Amino acid sequence: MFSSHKTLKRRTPAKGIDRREYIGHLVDEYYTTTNVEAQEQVTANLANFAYDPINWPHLLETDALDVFLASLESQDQPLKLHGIAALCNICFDKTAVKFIREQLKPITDLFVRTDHPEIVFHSLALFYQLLESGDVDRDLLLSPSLLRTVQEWRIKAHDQRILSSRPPQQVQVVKRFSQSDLEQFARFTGDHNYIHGLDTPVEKRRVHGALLNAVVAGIMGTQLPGPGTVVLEQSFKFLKPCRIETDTLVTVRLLQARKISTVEYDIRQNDEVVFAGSAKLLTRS
Amino acid sequence: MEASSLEHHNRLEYCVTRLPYRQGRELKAVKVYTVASESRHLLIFGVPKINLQADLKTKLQGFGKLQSCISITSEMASKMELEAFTDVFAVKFERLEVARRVKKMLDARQFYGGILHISYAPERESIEELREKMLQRRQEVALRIRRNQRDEPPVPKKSREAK
Repeated sequence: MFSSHKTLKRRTPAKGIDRREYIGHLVDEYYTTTNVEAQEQVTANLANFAYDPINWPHLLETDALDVFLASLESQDQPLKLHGIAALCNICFDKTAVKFIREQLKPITDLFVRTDHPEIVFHSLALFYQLLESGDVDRDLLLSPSLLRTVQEWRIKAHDQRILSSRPPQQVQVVKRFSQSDLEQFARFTGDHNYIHGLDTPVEKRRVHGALLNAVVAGIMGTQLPGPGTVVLEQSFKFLKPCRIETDTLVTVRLLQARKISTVEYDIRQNDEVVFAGSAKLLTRS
Repeated sequence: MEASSLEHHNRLEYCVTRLPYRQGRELKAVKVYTVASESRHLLIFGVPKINLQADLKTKLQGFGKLQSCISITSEMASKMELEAFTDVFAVKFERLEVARRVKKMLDARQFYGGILHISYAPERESIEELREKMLQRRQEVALRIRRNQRDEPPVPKKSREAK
């Protein structure tokens, strides 16, 4: 809930301490007490104060941000919870957001490692607010491990709202390229580049890049999104040579299912990505 | 809904070990709230099982526009331990401020011989409602900052960081 300057003045008894001093005392107690329960109580107080912007100058001046960070990094679960909730509450303040940007690693580490749903809850709210206000670089925050963690919690939730919405779709195919595949492709396309041929020792020989893309196109046109799909735009990178006679995992992921859909794809051999990219597709009406 | 996601509806113990300087007039549990925790949706536990839906609705409508008030006792009984002979209602208000006020005023208060336990139910929000709530938080914060500055323009201090 929010307070105004007037209500705060009215609520402070004549001989009492004002809000600024009170917050200062809470911060001091965090550092001076040896009792973890007392720390949990004062951090909860501070986190709830952080909800109301009228307290932000007091929290900043008393270095409560450092308390929130220390709390988040402690071993005690309620302290971690209070720390992240506090940051979630204060994240619209310019100084606080700068602090959060600098301390992104402990915050995201907590999120990725925790098994406490409430910590996840407030962390997600924090991340959402940071992204919405453009205060944090999207690629910096949305690391693969973070996105993976989000997906794991989505699945764990068994939430009807997620289950009834269209689930993210993915198709995976295992292929094995033989030398005769390469020769057929070379005959058909005229790509007799020696790097694909018998003149190159097998451990250095590589599958035609275009063949890799063709396999991906095959999946897009028959399975995901499926027949009728037309590729509008594509980008891809060849990250490592793709070898023959090796189990090759081809994955196509549907990111956005619209009239113009977006997919991502990658090809892996021995757990290494050899080919990756994305495409915009026109889906059949 | 997974049972574990209903844990936040369990009533926590009041904290009795606070140091005197920070013990308020009322006992409160140690709990934190953020924009995520609050919701226009509330669950009201502890309503005596004597057909009080109409009375409850009337009482709630006194606080502000009520969008729905339905009994979910049967649904909840399988997921949570409920107090014997009580009903639990899922309630939705048009405005978050009204839900806040209802929680503050009615939680742990008597109602026809029973003690109500009220908690926010953000898990009942639709995606659209959630998006709206996050936007509202941002707008409310901006409004409060403007209002605070109008009432008491900030005194420049050495320790204040420049914007």
